[in-house]
Amino acid sequence: MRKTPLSSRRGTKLLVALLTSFALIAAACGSDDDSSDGDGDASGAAATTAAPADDMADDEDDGHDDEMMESISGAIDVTGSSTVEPVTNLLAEAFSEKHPDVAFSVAGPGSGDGHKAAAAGEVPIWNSSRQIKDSEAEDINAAGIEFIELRVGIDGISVITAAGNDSVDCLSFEDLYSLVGIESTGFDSWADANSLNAELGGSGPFADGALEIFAPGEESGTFDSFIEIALEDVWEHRVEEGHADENFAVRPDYNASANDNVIIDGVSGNQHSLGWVGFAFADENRDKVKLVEVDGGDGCVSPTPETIASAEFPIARFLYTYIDAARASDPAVKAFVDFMLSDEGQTYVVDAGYVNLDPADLEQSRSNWANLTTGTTF
Amino acid sequence: MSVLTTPAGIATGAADALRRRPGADVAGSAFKWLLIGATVFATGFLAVLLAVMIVDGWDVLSGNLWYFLTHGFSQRSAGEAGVWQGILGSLQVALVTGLFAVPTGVATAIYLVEYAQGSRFARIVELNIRNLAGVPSIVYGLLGLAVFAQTLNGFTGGTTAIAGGMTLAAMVLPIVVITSVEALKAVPDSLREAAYGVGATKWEVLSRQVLPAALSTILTGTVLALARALGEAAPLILVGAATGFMAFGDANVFETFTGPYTALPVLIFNFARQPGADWGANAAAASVIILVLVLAVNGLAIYLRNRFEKQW
Repeated sequence: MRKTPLSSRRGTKLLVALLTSFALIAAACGSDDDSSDGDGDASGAAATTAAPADDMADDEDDGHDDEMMESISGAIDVTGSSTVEPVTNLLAEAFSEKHPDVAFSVAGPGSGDGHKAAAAGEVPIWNSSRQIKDSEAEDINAAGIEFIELRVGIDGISVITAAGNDSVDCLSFEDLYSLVGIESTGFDSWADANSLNAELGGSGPFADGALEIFAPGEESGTFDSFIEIALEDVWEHRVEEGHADENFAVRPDYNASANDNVIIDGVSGNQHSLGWVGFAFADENRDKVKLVEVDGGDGCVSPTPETIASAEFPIARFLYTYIDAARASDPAVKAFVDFMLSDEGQTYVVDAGYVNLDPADLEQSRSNWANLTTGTTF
Repeated sequence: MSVLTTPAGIATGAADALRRRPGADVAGSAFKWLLIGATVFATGFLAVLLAVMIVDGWDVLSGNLWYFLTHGFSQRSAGEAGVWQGILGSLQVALVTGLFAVPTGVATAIYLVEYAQGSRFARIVELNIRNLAGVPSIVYGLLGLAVFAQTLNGFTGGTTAIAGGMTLAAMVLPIVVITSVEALKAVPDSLREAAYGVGATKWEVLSRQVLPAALSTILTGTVLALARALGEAAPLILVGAATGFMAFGDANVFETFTGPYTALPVLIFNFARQPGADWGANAAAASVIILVLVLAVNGLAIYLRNRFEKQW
């Protein structure tokens, strides 16, 4: 036992040696990244050879010089809105086929998380399904980061009924709330909604008919957007007055489906049905469903790519992408954003189920990018 | 051993004796049926879950499995999406987790049990570690983002598999420490005393007697901790795992540790929120795959335990 103190020290030494060697292995792994982190290197190198603005304007209107830039490497991380994520995924997939050497990572935790990640300097590009808030812009600027704001597309939602249903042509937000809001729970026919509709000052009374509702489930971004844009104002007002449940905006007793095809089939198969889906999907099925006009307070507007793009149709929101201005000249980032704003890139907005911007907005986005205009511009 | 009556044998004999007098031990048999009921309930849940996942994912598992296992994420259609990046990422993250959590955790346990046993410091540390084991994983995600992805950016490369792995290492570290502490405490003191008695040094006692004796339990604990890390999505999403499209670019095998990464549970999270039954099938199939992966890791734990187990 006399030996114990001594050997104890020896044991400790060995333990320390063990931990040190482990730390060395870890450090070896780490040092590897200093040489390979294309993100940092590329932006550093590129900053010295920053392309002049007129040079970028040349690239901006044509996507087809991509083939000449085959040797681009580097890394692009995109985060932010989960609504915009599918567009970025499609763009990134096509971009990666042209530029296989660029490392790519797309995440969609949410618009707010995107602006936070940007303020921490984590990403060169981030998405948002709403315009950046002043407080978020201040946080990002406070971190020494200037951002370029681009609109990339529009998320429009169509209210639909069966193709042959002549009893409804236009619905206001009050009408929609009295038909699908939380207080309409249990309404089996359009006539059931009439007293609530009158109380809200809607456009009713409705012609009677069995009310069958088909719409996306609550996991869907379309569901969230519909609540935010069409129902939330009326619903919040009703909550304040103590009429409506403060936790749920939409009645639970409707046919929820994550599959847009199921919604279209359900709506087209019931004469007095009501439902909502992304505009692109409704537009493709005009033979089966009727796209109802919506009155957001400024009169009835029929959803068309033009009325959605001009924001006349009320159930729509712009989708944004933001870029760290200091990394705009990174070859990989530059090539990707060029691709995103090219005519080819814009087709992926529609493929993801959204609506293209009107030409003026797209031109504004392209000129923001070409001139590296920072701050909010829309 | 076989000729001696084991304690289990005695118990069986006693139960036989009771069975000859029905009604004599109502509480005992009621308790037994309660236990059987609880077991059926617990395994029933698992069976239903497994059945639902296999049924939902059957289209992918039966017709498309090889493609699904060997291709990366695609937004174009559910049929074009695969999970190889998730499998690779999960294995990378688990490797980093193991590299950090196992040596650190086992070393901590050895210090607490063999060197600082009974001291006030050891008691405080042990108590805190036990409390840490109950902290929700999302909290470790926030820690990982702040410490490993941002503060230690130069070492981890930002939001990479190394940062993700270290985050999960911090999460499972308390489990590794606690199981290792229990394993070392379970080694009888008579073994240590006998070794000291024949003149062994502390190092010899530790390295030749105590550690080999405790090895099987330590291994089981650490492998189970890794299995838990394999199933985590929430902390990794915070530490920047890609939920959508991902490409390694021109990175080599080592550079993928410091580039973008994802993990199977993160991909399941993405598949599950895409619209359409096809994506649901992908989510179910990926769930079955992660279950197989975790079962394989647990199987390894059982094998190692049986291989190294010591009897006194």
